[in-house]
Order: sequence, then structure tokens, then C-alpha cells
Amino acid sequence: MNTLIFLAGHSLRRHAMSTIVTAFSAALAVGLTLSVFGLAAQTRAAFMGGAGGFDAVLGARGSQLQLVLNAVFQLETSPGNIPWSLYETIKADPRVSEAVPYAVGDNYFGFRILGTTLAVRDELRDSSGKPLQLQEGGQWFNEENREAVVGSIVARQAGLKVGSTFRPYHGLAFDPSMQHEEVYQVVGVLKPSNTPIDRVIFIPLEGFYRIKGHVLRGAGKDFVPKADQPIPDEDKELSSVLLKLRDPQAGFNLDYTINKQGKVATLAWPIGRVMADLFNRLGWMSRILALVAYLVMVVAACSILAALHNTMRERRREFAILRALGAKRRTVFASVVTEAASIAALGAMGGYLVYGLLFFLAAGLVRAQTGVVVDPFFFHPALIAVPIGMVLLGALAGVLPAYQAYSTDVAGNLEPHS
Amino acid sequence: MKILEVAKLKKSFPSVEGGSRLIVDVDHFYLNSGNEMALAGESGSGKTTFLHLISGVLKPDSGQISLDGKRMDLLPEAGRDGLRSHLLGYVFQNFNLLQGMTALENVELAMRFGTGVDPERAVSLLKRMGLSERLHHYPRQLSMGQQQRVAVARALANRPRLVMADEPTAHLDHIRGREAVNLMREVCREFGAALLVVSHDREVLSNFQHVQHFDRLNRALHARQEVKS
Repeated sequence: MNTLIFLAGHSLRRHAMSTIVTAFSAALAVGLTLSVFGLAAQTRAAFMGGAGGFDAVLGARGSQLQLVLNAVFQLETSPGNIPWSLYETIKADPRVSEAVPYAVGDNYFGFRILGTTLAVRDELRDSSGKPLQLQEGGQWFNEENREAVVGSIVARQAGLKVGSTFRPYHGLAFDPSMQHEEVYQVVGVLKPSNTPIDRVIFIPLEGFYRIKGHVLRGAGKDFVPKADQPIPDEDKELSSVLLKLRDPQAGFNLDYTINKQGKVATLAWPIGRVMADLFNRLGWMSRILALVAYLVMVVAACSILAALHNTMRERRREFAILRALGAKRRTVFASVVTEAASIAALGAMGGYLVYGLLFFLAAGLVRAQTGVVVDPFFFHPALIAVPIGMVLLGALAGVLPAYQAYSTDVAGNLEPHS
Repeated sequence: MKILEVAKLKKSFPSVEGGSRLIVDVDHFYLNSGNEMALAGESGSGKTTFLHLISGVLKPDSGQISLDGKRMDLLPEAGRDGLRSHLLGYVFQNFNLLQGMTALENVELAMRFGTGVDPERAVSLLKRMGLSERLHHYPRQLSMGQQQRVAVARALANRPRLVMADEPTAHLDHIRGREAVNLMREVCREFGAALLVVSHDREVLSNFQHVQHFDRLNRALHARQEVKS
């Protein structure tokens, strides 16, 4: 084995440029394939586990997926509003342990503003399952004041800090002409939670209702809140309610009651299953990407074959010398296969670097777009199987050139007959 | 004791006109252990083919080759490879050093296929050849004479019983050629190896007490000359 490594190592150094180029193509192939499997699985896991500690979402009648994307991942528009009474009913339901109301409809430079209660402070969880934490010097809003608590990405990208003031813009998409008059003061900045919450601004629900231009239709008719006058509960409405359930059986029961028997609301439960459905629906895309990645690995193996095959003619004398020195045919054969596998192994190692780079870019993109953080230490079997597969493919690609080396005519390639 | 004995050895190659052409036809040839002999002959007389047959690189059509009492001609290819690496040292006409390896690595390479790598012995062999300053030089960084000395060190790497040298002075001037052959004879005596040198250089041949003319030994050559006349 030492002799094979010695011979392969010498040949790789002697054909350094060809080795580097071929190993680079293998590295790209391995990196791409690792990304297809690893990153996809990590993203899936991150989204399926990104419910912030909640079990279900209650919202207007419509798509469960839209409801989850809107309420949990802050991505979609709301399917509609539900009346306050529904919130009170579900909150009082013995099967529900916690209910956090959300009202959406405003933004600040594209970052969503969520009207809610201080229940978020107690019930929302970061990616590690711990309660949300404020950065030093911050505090949660007073529900009576125009105060805001902002997520870490919002603070960084919108330049907000404790003491900053801002005026919300109407709608979920940023439109400079739609700015509200009300001025909110930032009283707290959240520590990074590695969840979509990092891209959100929390303000008190009451304040949200009272922003000029907001019309409440909880009672089926328009109601415009007036200063110094309480807002009747029957006029209030919500975009969604995040729920924690007492046990899984409660989920089954509520699902039956709300989704199958009821007609006014939708319960998205469990949140992970709803996201899994989305990824399953996109499964065909993953399969196509995997197929492309496999083909790229085959192309890389072919490039190893071509690179070695092209050197076989010039190396016939080298093989003849090895044989004349006593190397057996099988030693020469194995040395070329080892060489091919070594190129693939170099590529496999480089593949981890390519994967790391792709992961860094993709993870940054996912984080910037959704706030979700994919775990860099997430293990997927592909992280082991793909590099091994590349080495085996490389070794297979070396078989043809190895056979050429194996068949070298020793006497005919040493020197001319005298 | 005979280290090498050849009997009724024949080897033909396909001819361009079709059929086959007899290149080697040696009735009897031998070399005793520890002895040295020069084999004289003109270019094209089949000397290199004869050495390839002895070394097992080529398989004879018929006849016997005994190396240290072992029948090379009866062994399968892998067996011939093993016997060659353990009993024979071969100094090629073009030295046949591997260009991607240093002088030391070239010597160690031969050891890998024979008795096993012994770096100390490899270094001492090269030092004995006067190459102590050139251990880590690549063949392209060495003169022809130095390359040949590396080739001799490599031939001695596995403590062979027989060293064969094919036209060892072909790429050297007269003075360096003489020095090279003398050095080869010296070290073979030192290491107890028999030496068979093939050459058509009279200067080289004059150094040897025992010179055989391959033109007379190889009956295939007589047959060709008879056809010509």
C-alpha cells in the first residue's frame, strides 16, 4: 500500500497542473452535491423547527400554509382577519395553554410591524427554545404607549436602537408615500433569536389599532378608533393567533372542531407538519437537483479518466521501467487506480470547502430573507456518503487508464533493440 | 557455481513482411557466481533482447534460462518479476531513471519491489558512487555520468547476485566511460555480484579478461548472414 501511495503521490506531483484542475472539478461536484443534500435538509429542518415554541396558528378561513408562512415566518400576506371574539374563545378553551394575538398590516422599510400583547415576551422562544432576550439597556413596551421592541436584524439594517423613533408605513410592502403620522419610540432591541422574529418590530396591539388610517371590521362594519375612547372588543380583529396546546390530543380535537366542523377559521396544526407538506410538494425539485448533482459527479469522474488517459502514452516508458525494476502488473494497475482515487479524494476534501462556501452564501441568503438560521453543525449522511462516493467513482474512472498501464509492453518501451 | 545458465534459447518477433524473424538463438551460455564477463557485439545483434530474456522481461519461445538455479523460463510473469527484482540488477543503456524522482528515491523505488526500503543502504550506495552531494537531485539536474552512477546504485539496491549492464558507456566520453566501467566492476566485486556487461565499445571490452562475442554466440545472426550472402 505504501508503494502505491508513493507512486501515486509522485505522479500527482509530476502532473501537478492536471491534478489541480481535475481535483478542482471533483471538488465542485462534491460541494454541489453536498449542498443539494445537506443544505436542503438543513433548511427543511430549520423551517420545520422554526415555530418559536408554538404548536398551532389560528387564522381566517383559507390555506394553512399561507397562515403559517404569514404568522410564523413573516413571509406571506394574511389570508384575512378573525374577530376578537374568536381569540377570546380559543384563549379560554381548556385545550389551549397559551394564545398570543398578532395584528399585521404595517411595515418599516419592509420589516413587518406586529401589533401584539406582552404575551410574546413570555411565550415566544428563540431557536434554542429559550425565551426572547433583550439587549442591554432595553425593556419591553408599555402596552399603553407608542413604544416598540425591534428584532436584531431590523435594528442592524434599519439603524434602530433604544431611544430611536420611527413612523410606520402602511401595508406589508414598503411604499414611501404610505407613511403614517404616529411616531413610535424604540424601547428595546432583541438579542438574535435566529428565527424570523429577528426581522420583526413588535408594538402594542392597542397602539396598532389606533394608528390613523386603520379601519377595524371585527363586527362586520367599519370602525375607526377615536382618541380617548375605548375600542369595543366586538370591533377588534386579528390577523392570527399563535397557540400552545396542552397536549397532542388537543390538536386533534381542535383540528376537527375548527377545520372540519367550523367555517369561520382555519387551524394550522401542527406547524411542522404544514411546513413538511410544503417541502414534500417541492420534493420533485430536490430530486431534479440531486440528479443534476449526480451527473456533475459523473462528469468530474470522466474528467479524471480523460486527464489520466491523456498521460498514458507519455507514461508508457515509466510503467515499463517500473515493471523492469520488478513491479508486478497488478502493482502498476493498482497505482493508477490509486492515483485516480487520490485525485477524487483531493476533490472530496476540496468539496467540503466548496460546501462550506456555498453553505455560508446560502445560509446568509436564507437568514436575510427569512431570519431563519440553518445550523452549520447539522449532520446529514450525505456529508460522509458523497465524498466516499466521489472517491469510488474516481477509482472506477481510473480502471481504463490502469488497464492501459497494465498492458504496457515492457521490452518495447524500455529502449530500442540493439 | 553458475549464477546464470542459458540453453537452447530462442526468441522470434513478428516480421514486417509477415511471419516471424528469429532474433536470438543461443545454444549455451553461462556465467559463474561473482565472475565478470563482457559480451561483445555490434548494434542490432540481439544483445538487448538476450538481456531482456535473461531478466524475464521477455519470455523465450523455447529454451532454458536458469538464474541462481531457478528456471526463469518456467515461471509465470509474476514469478519472473519477483525473481528479477530479487536476483538481478539491470543498468539500462538509457539509464531509465524515473524523471519525477530524486536519485535517492530512484534507488529506494527499486528496493520497494525487492528487499524492502532501506534508506540507510540507499544513501550509502549513492555515497559509494560518489553522489553524496546529489542525493536529492532529480535526473535532469545530474550529468550523464552521475545519472549512470545512480542507475548502478539502483541496480545494486536489492543485493543482486547478477548485475547486467547494457552499453553502459553509450552516453559517456572515453575517460568517463572507463571510469564508469571500473567503478561498476569495483562495486560488483565489493557486493559479491557477478557482472555481465554488453558493449560494442573496444575500450570497455579491453577492461575485461573474459569477453564473449555475441555475434558468434547468437546463431540467429549466422542464419541471417547466410540468407544475405
